[in-house]
Amino acid sequence: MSMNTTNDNTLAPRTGRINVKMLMQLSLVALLLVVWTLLSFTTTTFATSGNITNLLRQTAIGGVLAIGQTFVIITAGIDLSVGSLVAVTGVSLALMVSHGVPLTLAIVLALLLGLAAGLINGFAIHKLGLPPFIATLAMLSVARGSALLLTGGQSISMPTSGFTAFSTTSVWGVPSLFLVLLVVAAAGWVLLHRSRWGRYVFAYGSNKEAARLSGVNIGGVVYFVYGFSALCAAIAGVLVVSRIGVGVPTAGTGYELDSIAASVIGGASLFGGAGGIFGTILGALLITTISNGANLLNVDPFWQQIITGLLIAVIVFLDQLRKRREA
Amino acid sequence: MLLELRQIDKKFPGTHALKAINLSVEQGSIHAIVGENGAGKSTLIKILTGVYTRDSGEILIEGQPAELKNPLQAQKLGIDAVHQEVVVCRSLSVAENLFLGIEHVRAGLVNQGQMDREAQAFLDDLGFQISAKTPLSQLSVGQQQLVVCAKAVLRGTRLLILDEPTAFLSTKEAEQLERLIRRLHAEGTTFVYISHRMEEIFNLSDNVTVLRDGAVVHSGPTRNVTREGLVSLMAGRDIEQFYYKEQVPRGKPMLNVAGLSGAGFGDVNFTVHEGEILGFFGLVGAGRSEIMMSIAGARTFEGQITKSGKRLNAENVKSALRDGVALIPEDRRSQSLCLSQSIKFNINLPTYDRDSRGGMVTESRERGTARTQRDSLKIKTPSLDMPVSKLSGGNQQKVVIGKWLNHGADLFMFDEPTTGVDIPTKLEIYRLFAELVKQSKAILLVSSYLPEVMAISDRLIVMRQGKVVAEVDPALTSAEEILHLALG
Repeated sequence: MSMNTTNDNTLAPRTGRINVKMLMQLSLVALLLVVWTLLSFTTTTFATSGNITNLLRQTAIGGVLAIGQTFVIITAGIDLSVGSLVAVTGVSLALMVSHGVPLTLAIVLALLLGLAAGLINGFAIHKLGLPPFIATLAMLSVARGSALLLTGGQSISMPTSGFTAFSTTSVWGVPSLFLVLLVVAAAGWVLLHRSRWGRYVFAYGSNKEAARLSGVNIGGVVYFVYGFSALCAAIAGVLVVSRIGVGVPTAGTGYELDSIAASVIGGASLFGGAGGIFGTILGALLITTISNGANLLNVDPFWQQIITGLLIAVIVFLDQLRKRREA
Repeated sequence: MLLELRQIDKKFPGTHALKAINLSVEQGSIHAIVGENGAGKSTLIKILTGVYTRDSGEILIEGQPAELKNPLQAQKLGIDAVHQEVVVCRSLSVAENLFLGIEHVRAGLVNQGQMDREAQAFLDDLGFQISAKTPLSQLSVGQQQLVVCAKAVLRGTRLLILDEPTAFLSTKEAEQLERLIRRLHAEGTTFVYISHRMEEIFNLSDNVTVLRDGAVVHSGPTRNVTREGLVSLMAGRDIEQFYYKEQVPRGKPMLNVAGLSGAGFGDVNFTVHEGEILGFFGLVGAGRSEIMMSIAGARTFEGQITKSGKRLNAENVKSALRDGVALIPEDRRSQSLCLSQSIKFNINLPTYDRDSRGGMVTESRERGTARTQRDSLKIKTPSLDMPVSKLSGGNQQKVVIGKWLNHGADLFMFDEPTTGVDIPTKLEIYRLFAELVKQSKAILLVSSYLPEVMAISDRLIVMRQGKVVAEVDPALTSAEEILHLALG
């Protein structure tokens, strides 16, 4: 007698296209719309183009990080190093440019730096067998320490004004930063939901041994997700520097937690095997909306953290309820 | 009458699981319950152990009405169950498991020494050769199962429900369990015994009840019924044989294994031909699964494995797959299937690299592939997008087979393929074997169920403690002889 099987006579619910994952995402969209509507009525400033633009810009950075984190969480792993990687890639970029490296080259090198850190994470996890929590926690410290070391604890200015101007531009009314998020999201979506490597990521997270015995390159999956997550962190690092015009060694502190929160709100399960890009974006939007709305309502910023924490707990709890009822 | 169920009814959304069941279990009897998967056996057990509540009807224990609202209440009334899949705390010792919840406590501190001693005395008395201090994880599945039974006995269980307890046990371990049952039976314990194994039912039980589609279709003394009769009652139709075997001419050699050694086995030699089913029988621990894993590229080994003239490499699953080797492992749930993913996903997993273009998966092809396998294997599901965790054991097995058929394997290694599978599905799986060999594929069949492996195999290799002891023709050898060879 197995715990999770049904007998052949049971009329199992027809799942098909409209499935529970979609329901979850729809309810998130609904929640977002409700919150936005509420904020539009309770403040005079929320529904202004200036504020919406700001909201989208703020979401861009958290969103890019969350997309990378989603890949990792689907494998039942976690990447705690992304916040620190934002800092170390950012300061590296600023340092290179202020030493005369051409901007484009410096950006590419900063991205490669992030990628390398991700591959090191992957190595620690796959070859050395460290639990992802520990491996990426170590990288969190190493990367943060490196950023501080490289800069002597100081901020490094970005001399190129065109670069910082990028963060303030918009294309057809949409902030460029947000467009970067959309590009990363599109790439992430194609990789995760349409490519075979995305299938392998889900297989790994669902049952690593079954995946292995089905011929999936287990090591490849690990390097792929941690590399991608770190690359996203590097992209975010570049975006941060563009936004504030300086490479700050303490940038990104705590960003990893928000990226995890966004992924989980969006439907990713820490046990692996579930998650998606669209849901993650919604999660990131929700988190940014809370902080944006709280600012406008003059809510004590410390309350924002409490609200975000409670929100994560409630949403995931409701998701678990739904899963249990469906089982 | 120890237990009486009157008009017990239970409905779930979409299914009427138990239809006004009447059942009487006599004090001190061994009462067998048989039925196909889906007949309602597991629902019945869950109601008896307090996991589910009945919708209507009465439960009487020794003539008194009983409310079994939760497992704790059921245990207090002396009802407990031993399930197919062992439920223990693996990192705790035998003694710790036995006394879980009823530890000896003095002044707030646990008296482990005394519990260890008591546990050991108890185990010795039952005739188990297990040390009370051993962590459960170090015991074999069979031994773990014995510990679960011991735990129930320790708690003074009067009615012990055994749900396919020998499903994952070796012949020797099953015999140990049988001895325990007989002994407890002699001491007055009542048993409800659920099994698909006819031999066990006719060997052990006093009475037998047949469930079909949620209703009792027969209940009476075991001596008044025959095997064929029981199977007919279960299926509602006449099944001529238990096993399905077609004689297929043997083709050229496909796989040759020479001097194969590794962790758990040594100096193994055999050949299997196209169109052949080569059986592997032995006790648990004989090394059969390890050999299959090595051929599949999932383990290191020394020696030579040649398939169709090509040498197979160790520790290279991908290349073994490319060479047409398919392994359907023993524990299909933890080794073979991504349970949270859909049927479509699981069927396509090994072939995404072959079927994708530029790395991109074509959804229509993915769906078409899954549909083909579902239709040809008759996998019962309303949707290909359903997670495989929701399928019955038999249909899960079909998904595994479908995935390898799609992959184009020609050597199929089945490790205990019909454990926990009901009889009609078993027959379907045997028919599938016949289909495979008619297509000149070869099958290595590891089975601890002697009647099955004797009926299905063309040749049978008997293993003991990692060594090949004999290669026999099952048609010309008796079951006793084979068992002797396996036991040594």
